[in-house]
Amino acid sequence: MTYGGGDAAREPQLDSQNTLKPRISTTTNQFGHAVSRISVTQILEATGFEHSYRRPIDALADVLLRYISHVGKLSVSYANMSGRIQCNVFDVILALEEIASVHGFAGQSDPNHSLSSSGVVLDLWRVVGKEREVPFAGSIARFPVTRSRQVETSQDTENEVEWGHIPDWLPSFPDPSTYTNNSVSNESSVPRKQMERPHFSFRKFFSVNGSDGLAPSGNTNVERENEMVQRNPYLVPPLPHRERQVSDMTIPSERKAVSVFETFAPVIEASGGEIVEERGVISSKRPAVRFRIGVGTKSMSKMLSLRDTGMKEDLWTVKEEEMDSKKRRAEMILKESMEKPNELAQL
Amino acid sequence: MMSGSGNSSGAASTAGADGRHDDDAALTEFLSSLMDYTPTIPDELVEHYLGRSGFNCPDLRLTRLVAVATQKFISDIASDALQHSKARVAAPIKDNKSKQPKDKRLVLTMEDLSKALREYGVNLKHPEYFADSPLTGTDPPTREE
Repeated sequence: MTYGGGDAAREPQLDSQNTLKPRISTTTNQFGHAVSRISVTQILEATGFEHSYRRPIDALADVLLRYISHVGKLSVSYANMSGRIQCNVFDVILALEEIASVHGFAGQSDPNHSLSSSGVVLDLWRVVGKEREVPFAGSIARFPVTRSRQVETSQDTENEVEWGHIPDWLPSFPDPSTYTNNSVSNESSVPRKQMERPHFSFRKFFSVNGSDGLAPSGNTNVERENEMVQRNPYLVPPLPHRERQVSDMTIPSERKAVSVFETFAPVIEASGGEIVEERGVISSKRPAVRFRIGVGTKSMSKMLSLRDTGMKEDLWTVKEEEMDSKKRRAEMILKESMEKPNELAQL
Repeated sequence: MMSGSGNSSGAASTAGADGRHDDDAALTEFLSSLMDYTPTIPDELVEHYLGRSGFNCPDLRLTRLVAVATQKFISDIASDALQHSKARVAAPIKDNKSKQPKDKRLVLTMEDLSKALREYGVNLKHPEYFADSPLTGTDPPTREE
């Protein structure tokens, strides 16, 4: 039987129909797909086809694989419904019946029909008995082939007793010297590098609290623990109950000594002094505060009249006059406070 | 009367039991005959894809059963597609003079296959053509050269 085109290549190629050949989906399916394509080709040849295009063969190979998966899934569901995890022949027959129910099979209408003599089974028996046997061309190995992994063997695993109830895939027990009270044989018996250390050191945790019942191990335990701590912040041991050195608070050096003026800065701010403007500007160097000490003689009525006209320049002057009066009041307060430091509470 | 009906029911039950026994024997015979028959689909492939679906059974006869069922399924589709292909070849050509005589080869095409698969509940849509660029078929002024 002629087969259009060569074997599947990675790059899209033009086949006899001048159409782009689609790529096979994933690498894990490629081998199975290739094998099923060979089977499909053999089945088509046995059916009577002489030639075929590549795309229908790919489609049929995909259908074949999906059918096998579908039968498997249905069989497993029937087995699970019966409370089993291993499928038996009746699960498979039920699955095949469910798939064949679309087309229909002999005995489908009878709800009490025997599974052993189901129409599906009889059809298959006919295939086995009558049809010409066409074995698969070539032989394939069992797949997927798993690469043998080298299991890490530490000295612990070599000396370990094989327990029947403990599975092999669990990590081995730590060296007994790591958790025994015997400090003599601890460091000399097993080399430190090959010892398996626990990830979290309870010894260190308990030793802080004074109830140190475990033998001290070397620095590697602490290092490993630190390593683990650095890796995972959630594994940081909680702070034990004791005094800790806390970093001192750094006071900025450029600040002057606390003066009365500084204390009453909010008062001045509230009164609307020049400091407010100064603070609005973000600058590292604090500008000098300038006060205008003087007595403003302009009356309130004039200020009001200027406001009514709405002239901006006058408004600015009015604002300055207001600030002068307020400054005067602030200075008065300062004077009083400096003279009578005991009466600060009234402010 | 009661005993008679009891006897008849007993006879029926024994007949039923015998029937079931026969059925089971037939099934056992069928499964054993599977081991002699080598399906076109290799066992390793079927085992792999059954395993992927969660099918866990060490019995090789069940694997062979699924393989034979799959082979029958595919061969049924193939025979349906063959019928469609033969019908196409046998159809009378309207224009005998211009066209050459029809090719008598039996070639599996996507059209025949999609017709055959439709009856089994598989919808296979084959695009008519593939364009080499997204702008193929658009108006020339709009196409960026």
